[in-house]
Parts: sequence; C-alpha cells; structure tokens
Amino acid sequence: MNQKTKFVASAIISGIIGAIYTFTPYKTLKNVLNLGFGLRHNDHVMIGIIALIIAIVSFYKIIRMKK
Amino acid sequence: MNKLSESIIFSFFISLVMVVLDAIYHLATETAVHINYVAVKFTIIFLVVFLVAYWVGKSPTEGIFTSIAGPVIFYAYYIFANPTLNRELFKIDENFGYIFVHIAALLIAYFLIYRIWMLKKGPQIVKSLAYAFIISLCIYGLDAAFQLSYVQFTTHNEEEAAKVLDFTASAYLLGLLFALSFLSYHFIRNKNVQMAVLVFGSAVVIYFLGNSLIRSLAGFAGSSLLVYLAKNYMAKK
Repeated sequence: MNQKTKFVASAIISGIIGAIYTFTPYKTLKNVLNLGFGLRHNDHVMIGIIALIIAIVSFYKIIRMKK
Repeated sequence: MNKLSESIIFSFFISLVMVVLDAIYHLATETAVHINYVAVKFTIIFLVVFLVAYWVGKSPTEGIFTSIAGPVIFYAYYIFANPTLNRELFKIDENFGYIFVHIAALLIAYFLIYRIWMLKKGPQIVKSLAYAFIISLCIYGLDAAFQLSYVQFTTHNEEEAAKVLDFTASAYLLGLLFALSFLSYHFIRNKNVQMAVLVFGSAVVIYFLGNSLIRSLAGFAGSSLLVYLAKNYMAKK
C-alpha cells in the first residue's frame, strides 16, 4: 500500500467515525447504533473531533502530495 | 532527535503559547478561563499542530493552515458539546467571533516559535526577546494550569476554579518572568548557570507572588522541564 492510499483510507475511515461521533445525537448513538460504550455525550464529541482532526490533516496531506 | 520527538516538542510549545495568549485575552476581557475548556482547547490545538508538523511539515503555509483549522475545529466542539459551566454566571469564548481571536493567537504562537526554531542568524537582542517572550508565557501557562487543577481537585467546584486567575496578578507574574528570562538569556553566557538562574528565579518569583510553597515547587518542576526542552532542543535547531 503506497503512502497516498494510506492517507486516503485514513481520511475516509476517520472522517466517517468523526462524523458519527460528532454529529449524531446522543440518544441515537446510544440506543439505535449501540455505540455509546457507557461514555458521556461530551466524551463522544471529543472522540469525534479527534477523528475529524485526523481526517482533515490526512486530506490536507493528500492535497500537499499532489503539489 | 527523531522527527516524532521534534514534532511533539514543537507542537507542545506552540499550543502552550497559544493557549496562554488566549487566556490572557480572556482575563483582560473578563471571560472565564476554565480548566476543562483550556484542557480541550490545548488537546485540539496540540493534535492539529502535531499532525500537520509530523505528516506534512513545518513551514509558513502549514502555519496558516494550522492556525485556521485548529480554531475552526475547536469551535465545532463548542457547538456540539454540552455546556458544563453556568452561562448566567460566566461568559465564555463560545461565540463565533472568538474564532478570530484564536486564529490570531495561534498565528502569533506558530510564527514566533517557527522563527525562533529556524533563527540561526540575526541580532542577539531579537533572539533574546523572542526567547524570553516564549519561555515566560510557557512558565506562566504551566503555573496557571497548576493553580486551576489544584483548586478543581481540592474543591471539586468548577465555578470556584474558573475564578482563580486574575488579570493583574497574571500581568505582574508575566512581567517578572519575562524580565528574568530576558536577563538570564541575554547576559549570562554559561548555559548551565543560565538554566539554573531561570529555574530557581522562576520558583522564587512564583513563591513571592503566590505566597505558596507547593505552587513554587510546581513552578520549579514546570520551568525545569521547559528550560531543559528549550535549551537542549530549540537552541540547537
């Protein structure tokens, strides 16, 4: 797997995880998706934000690799 | 030193300076400086600066990207997280306009440390002033973090902890730490003596202003770490 593919995969996977944990309402995440893991809402948002940071920086890296 | 440690230290200094500049602005404008938000802000800014520095690199372009991305992501946290402080008693930096304050603080921190990192030539007075500015802000930042966490752990009351820092006391402490850092860096040539004067001097200044031995010991530990990292890493770059 080359470096570009790794960053594309990282951007997509962490982007999806980040979007789920940041933007999904607490009750949906806990009761419907069963992804609560006994954590508070703010902990979910923090996990989501960390994943979004990884996604955004991976995306930025891909853009910089093209130049 | 490998790229990982280099990026961690670079990001640590930038995030600390940014958070302290922002905290001083909040103290001056009577906005709450709250340990939980400061911790979240530091974590988010540190991660953005670190990942960009480690994966992409360090340059003015990366500095601009980091300075915009960090505060925007932090604002997203504010929008989606539940508030933990009573908004009727405290004003906090959750309005959209504060993004620009955070961007300005991060731009100043990034370019100051980036310039110091790369500054091999140039007038000694400029290097000394920049170094003193960075190191005094960092020592003050660790001392403020200690005060906030100490009150938080002893009282378990977030509202008490949010009232700990005061602008006037912070300004005196910062001024004294800046003078101490500048004088020791500019006038003492022996590196070990320079480090010892700065570390012991910081502990003494914190003791006399804070009137607390435990805070002074924490200041001693914090300034030792910062001075060690700054002297053994930043100066060599």
